[in-house]
Order: sequence, then C-alpha cells, then structure tokens
Amino acid sequence: MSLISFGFLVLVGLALCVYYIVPMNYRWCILLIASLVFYVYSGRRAMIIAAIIVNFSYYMAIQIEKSTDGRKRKIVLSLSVVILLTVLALIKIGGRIDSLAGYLIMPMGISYFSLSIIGYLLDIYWKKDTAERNIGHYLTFVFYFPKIVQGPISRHGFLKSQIIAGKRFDYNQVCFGMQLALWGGFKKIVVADRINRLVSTVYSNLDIYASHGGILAIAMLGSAVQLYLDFSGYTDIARGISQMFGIELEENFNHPFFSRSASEFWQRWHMTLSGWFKDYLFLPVSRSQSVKKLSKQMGLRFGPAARKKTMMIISTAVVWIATGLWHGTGVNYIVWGIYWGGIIIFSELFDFLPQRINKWLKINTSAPTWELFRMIRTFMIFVLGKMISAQKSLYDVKMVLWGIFRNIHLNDISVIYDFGLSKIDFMIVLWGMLFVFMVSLMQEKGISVRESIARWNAVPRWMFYSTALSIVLLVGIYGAEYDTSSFAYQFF
Amino acid sequence: MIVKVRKLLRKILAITFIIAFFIASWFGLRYISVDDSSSYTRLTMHEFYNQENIDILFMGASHCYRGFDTNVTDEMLGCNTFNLGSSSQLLDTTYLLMREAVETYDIDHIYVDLSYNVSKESIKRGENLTSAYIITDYMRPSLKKIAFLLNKSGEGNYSNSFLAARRNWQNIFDLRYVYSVLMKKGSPEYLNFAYIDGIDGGKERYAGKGFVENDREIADGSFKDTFENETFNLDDIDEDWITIVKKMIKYCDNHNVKLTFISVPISSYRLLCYKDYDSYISFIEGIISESGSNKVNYIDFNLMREKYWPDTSTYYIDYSHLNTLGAKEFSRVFCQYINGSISEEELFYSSISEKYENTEANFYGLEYETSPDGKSIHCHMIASRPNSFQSKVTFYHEGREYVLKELSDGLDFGIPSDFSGVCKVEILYCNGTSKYYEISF
Repeated sequence: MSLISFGFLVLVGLALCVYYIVPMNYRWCILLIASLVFYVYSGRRAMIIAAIIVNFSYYMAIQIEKSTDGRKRKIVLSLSVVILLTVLALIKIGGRIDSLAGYLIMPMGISYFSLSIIGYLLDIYWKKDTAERNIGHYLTFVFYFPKIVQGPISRHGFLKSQIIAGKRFDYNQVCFGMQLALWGGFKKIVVADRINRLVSTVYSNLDIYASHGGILAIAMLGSAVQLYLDFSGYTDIARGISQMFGIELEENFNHPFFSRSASEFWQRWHMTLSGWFKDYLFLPVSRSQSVKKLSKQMGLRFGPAARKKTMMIISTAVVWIATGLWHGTGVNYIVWGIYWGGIIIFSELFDFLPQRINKWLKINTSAPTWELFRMIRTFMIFVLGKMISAQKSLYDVKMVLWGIFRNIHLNDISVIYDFGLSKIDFMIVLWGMLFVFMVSLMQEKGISVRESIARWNAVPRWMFYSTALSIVLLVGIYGAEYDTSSFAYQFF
Repeated sequence: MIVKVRKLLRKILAITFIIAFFIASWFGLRYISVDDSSSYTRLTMHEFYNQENIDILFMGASHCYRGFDTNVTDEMLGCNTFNLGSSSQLLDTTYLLMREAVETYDIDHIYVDLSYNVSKESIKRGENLTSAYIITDYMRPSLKKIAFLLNKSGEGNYSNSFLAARRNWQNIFDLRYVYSVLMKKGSPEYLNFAYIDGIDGGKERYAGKGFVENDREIADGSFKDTFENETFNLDDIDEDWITIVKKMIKYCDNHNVKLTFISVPISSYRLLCYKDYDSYISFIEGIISESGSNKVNYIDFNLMREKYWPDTSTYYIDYSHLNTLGAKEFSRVFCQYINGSISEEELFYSSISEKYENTEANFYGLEYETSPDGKSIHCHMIASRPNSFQSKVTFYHEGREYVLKELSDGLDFGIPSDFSGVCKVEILYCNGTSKYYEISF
C-alpha cells in the first residue's frame, strides 16, 4: 500500500475517526492497529521478518537496561547492533545478487526502522532513555505507519510520549496536518513524478542520449530537483498525516537548496539521518580511545589544530562511508559517500582558503550575489552527487559527464518533448517548481505560509484548500494512466 | 443556546458551500474539457430518461444501436421501443443499464444482443473503461452507479471514474480547444440535444431513440482482413461474463420482465471466418439451460434463411455492422418474427453449417497474413461451398497484370509483399456463370 493510494486514504480516514472516538488511554492501540494493517497490506512475509527484528530488539533493550554489569551490557549491545546490521546488510546486498533476489524479502522501511532501533538501544545503553516494557507501545513506535516507509528516522524518546499519551482532537492541528499532506502531495505527484518521467527516460537509455549533452544536463539537474521534491513531499505527507493524529514527527528538510556549504546542506537535508549519524556514529567514533590517541599524537606533532582536525577527518570519513553504504551497496554509492565526505573534509581542512582567496580577489562577501553564488555552488555539488548515486555503474557516470562536456548543443532543447513530458507537463513542472521556490523563500524568511492561510476566513480558506486539492487530483501523476485519445467522444 | 445553534448552522452552511464548490469546480472542469458534441450516448441517454414509458428495450453494443431501427420497430410492433445500445457496451454495463431501465420504466420485454466479438472482450476490473464511461457519464446519480464504478474501475482508476475531467485534463490547458468546446456546447443544437457533426462524410447520423444509421455499403466480395483479427475461441469469454448472463436471467425473472438474448446478423464473411460459429450458439444455449430458466431463449439472427435475409454484403458498413438499409430490413424481419407473421422454422436454419450447405455458392472476400520471411502475403478465399466453383486471381500492380492463380480449384494463393494495387478474383461457378470481384491492396 502506497501513501499515494486510495486504500491509504481510506485507512487514514477510518483510523482518524476511530482514534478520536476511543478513550485517550487506548488511542495508541488504534495507531498500532492502523500501522499493522498498513504493514501487512505491504507484504505478509516481510511482516514476519520485521516482527522478529522488533521483538528481538525489544527483548535486548530490556536486557541492556536490566544488566548492572558494564561488560555484559556492552556485549549485549554489541551483539544486538551487529545482528541488526548483519540482517540489514544481508537483505540489502542479497537483493543485488540475482540468484538470491528471488528468495530475499525486503521488509518495508527496514533501512529506516533499523536505524531507529539501533539508536534506541544505544540511548538505553547510554542511559539517555528507558527500555519500553509494553510491547504494544514499542511496536507502535517502530511501525508507526506515517513514517515507516521512508522516515523520518524517529527517536524513541521523542515519539514515545506523544504516541502513548493520546491526543485530544484539535481542529487546527487536523487542518494544519491536512494542509501539510496536501502540500507534500503537490510536490510529489504533481511536480516530482513528472520530472521523474524525463529523468528515468534519459537515464535508462544512456546509450541513445549520450550524444545529447543538453538533455543529459537537464536530466541531471532534474534528477536532483526531483529527489528533493519527492522525498520532502513524502516527508510532508507523513508529517501532515501524523499531525492530524496530534503527533509531531521530526523535521527532515529545512530548505536545503538555500545552503551555502556542503556541511550546511547536510544539516538541512534528510536531517534525521544526518542527526542519527552525528549522534550515534560521528560522536562515538571521535570520542573513541583509538581516535583520541591518534589525534593526540597528531596534535603533538603538528600543533593543537591538527589534533582537532584528525579527529574530524577520521569521524567524517567513517560517517560518510557508512552513509554511502546505507543508501545502497553498489560501488557508486561508496563513491558517492567518498565524494561527499571528501568535500566536507576538504572544506574543513582548508577552511582558511576561501577567506584568503576572497581577500585576494577583493570579493564583497556581504553582497547578496555572493550568497547566491554559494547557494548555486552547493546545489551543483548536490547535483553531481545525485548523478553519481543515480547511475547503475561508474561507467554510466562517466558517460553522463562525457556526454555533457563533449556533446552539449543548444539545439538539444528542440527535442525536449520527446522524453516523456509534453509541453503542458513542462509548464506544470516549471510553474510548480516556481511555486515551491516562492513558498520555500517565504518560509526561509520566517513567514509561516500555513499560519497566514489559517488566518483567512473559513469560506475563502476552505475554497483555497478545495482548489488546491482539485489541482493535485487533476494534474497529479497517480493511479492508472488514461489514454485521452481513447476518450474522444466522437463516434460514441 | 441560540448562539450555539447559530454557530452550528453557520458551520453546516459553510461545509455545504465548500462541498458544493468542490463538486461545481469538477463539473465546470468536465464541461470545458470534454467535447461530447458528437456523442451518440449523450443523446441516447437524454432520450432514454425522457420517455413516457418503454415497452420493448434493445440492449447491446454497436451491433445493437446500428441494427434496430426504432422507427420501424415502433411502427410494426405498435408500442414504444427504445435502443439502448452503445459502442463496445460490455455485458456488465448492459446489466447496469438494464437495472436502471427496469427501475425507471414498466418494461415488457428486453432483447440483449450477445454478438460474439463483443462477448469475448474482457470485463475484468480496470479494463475497457471507456465503453463504461460513455454510459455512466450520462446516467443519473445513484448508489447503483457508484457501486458499479467502484467495482469496474479498480483502485487505480477511481479518479478517472468519479472525476471525469481528470481523464481529459490536458485539454483544460488548451485554450483553443476549450473555446471550441464552449462554442459547440453553447450552440442551440447541443442545448436541444440535436446531433451536430456529420460523421463518415455525412453518411452517418443519429436517427432517434438510440438508433444510428449509416448509408455506407460494402460491395459484394470485397471483404479483406487478417487471419489474426478473425480468430474464434470460446475460451476467450470470461467466466464473469457467464455469471452476468445468469444474473440478467434471474433479475428479469424476479421483475417479471421478458428477456431474450439475440445476435444481430453479421456478414457471411465473418461467420465463415469464425469456422465454428455453431459452437457459440450451443454455448449460449448451454448457459441459458444451466440457469434453469424456461422463460428465456436465444435467437441467433445469423441463421436467417436467404428468402428473408439475402446473402449480400451491401447490408453492411463493415464485417459486422448493419447499414441504414440493412437495419431497416433486419428490423422489419425481426418484427415480423416477433409478431408471429413468420414462424421460427420458416425463418431460421437450425445451424450455420446447414445454412451454408443449402445456400448457393458465394465468394465473400479474402483473409490474409504476411509470410514469416515478409516476402509474400498468403491469401485465403472466404466462400461458401468452395468445392462448387473454380477461381482465377489476377493482380494489377503498377499498370501491369500478374496472374497469381490460374483458373483452378483451391482457395489459397500468394501475393508478393511489395505489390500494391487491385486484386481481381474471377469465380467460375459449376453452372457456367462467372463473377468478378475486386479487392484493393
């Protein structure tokens, strides 16, 4: 069952009605039932694997908390994390091996809930959180249906109290939730899925389009924008639906295309993943004895700055290799991890360079155009990174880059309508992107669009919602395609 | 208390307004995006809902709306007849319409056309939706209609089924198209439910009460189609289709409506291409007897004798649809049979094989396929009593004459695939007479 499906709408509608009818103490049960129904609909066999993982982690968390022996706690934690990561790796790597692919079942959202569970176990180990004793509560936390498919990667401490407490019906919260979900739907099915048609047409036929550098460049840019609109659209839908139940999910995107540097970009992009890697990998690695020891040696040899930088380089490298592997097990994902890690390490190592260059070139760094340049530069870094991860092999990466630099022609634009998008589709994409950009700009300036609309009178406000819903329903890419030529009423 | 009630009333009013606004928006979008100025079903459904009563109803696909001339049937049967046929109307849609008709009028008799080439079309969920939409778009709102669309569409098509503008959303952005639609829809003809466009060079028109007439005709012996298009296989018919036939029988039985399944005549060319059409007749009769009803029967008008139904393709606009003349003639014979002026024995042969064994030898056309190497086109002559004539085939290609088959027995010959022109078939009958037929390639 997809979040963009009639079945899901019915599920949410029913769950909402029942949720606000049952007593507060039992409202989490409705969330659990809805989550399990959603999960079972997505594959019963996968549910069994997911249930084993969840029950195992539930039991292990209690063991970690119960144990007073530090060594034993460490062993139980390590064993749990290794087992969880092994299962995740087996499923991810196995899926790439043709002979195994038919036998392996990928439980929905395993990459996301595995991280949530590992974070939960580590929090208990560090005594930042307490182990959940009620299996129902724990299952609701892991399987909570709005976020199970693609996150956000929720923290147990953040979500637990909201789920268990049950929320009173709040008209404004429900409206805000609907608004956010609708906005997410617009980004995802009106704009992102349209761009995806062009991108997938070009990327799946690289042999044909290698000689159309202009088209490759458009696909490369489109692919980056599509990913943002798709993923942030999905997150908005998930957060919006959750908000309708009165439960806030973590923010996952904070207008990443306004970032001025690679590090800032990752503080704004997939924030729950970046936050997870920071708290559960970067900090533990940088605080580990071996890294501390090595950093100390470097500090003694090259000065105090080297100590800090060594710690940063090692931790960043580990985090980015892990991030690459989490995204995918292909070589291109490892290269992608190295690419991002390399850029961040380089910019941290040589953080003095931009200042010197700017001074030397007499660049006015307070000018808005300089800020714009930095944003475009960061965006282009992201675009290139996305292209690397989007290809099946490094050879394809080379093909795209080669095609763009050697075969770019202005007249490539003349064949732009041959790639799965009509002129109207392009207009919708362009207007849609402009609209998203304007809203993002307003939000970046601190203007809350949702609250501004909420201040309107009820009738115009609801007319606006109704029109927005109609636009999404009318031009969205969803459901079965309809061949309009087959709908010529003539002769019928 | 009064303040609370006022507040509640205001809320209800606001909600009603918003819902009305949403529905009105979609109606508006549908109005500008769908050009139904040439739609027959729009006119048929409008007329259907505006009858005083309907005594006899004809239902089915295009064979039906092109076959029953309601002017003739009204006059000869002395009652109000109505033709509720529509393009590619599949049996599930027919069943929906049947219930709508029985609930709306006091119907005495329903004739449902079960022509084979419509029966074999899939009625699976999410398939062949256009043929359903052209009816449901003009049906009055009802739970029955919603249930049908929910069941017929499948999840992926809900928006197309319930929000008609979604199907044609691209048109909304084409201002020229929208302007032309608004012009057509603003015309007095459209507003008065008159037919606007002259289809098929003005030869086709909506003739009232669901009947569509077409003046085009096919010359004898000029049919030509691929082997692939002429396959006949009863396994192609869905189990669901059989279930609906039985549901119809039960429904009419429960509502005291007489039900007769029929097949409107199709060309001899097509019947002979099917090779085993008799098995289809037995198949339908088997379903009826399985249902246990003794009130329902099946009449296949393909079995008509030459005396009442001349063996000519000039009654057709194509392989299986009657033209104006054919429909008039068929409707007349149909009424005579219903009136009892002609008996069953007098009108019908008992089987298709008996029919073609007893009629004079006749040549109808060619069926063909390209050879696997693509170098030639294999042709097979479609004719009744093929052993009672000899044939000669000549091809006129780029001004030159090529004899492809000398005068001889046999029905097969080949044409080089790069040939284009006219294929002339000379048939020499046993009685010494000969006829010439021309088929373009």
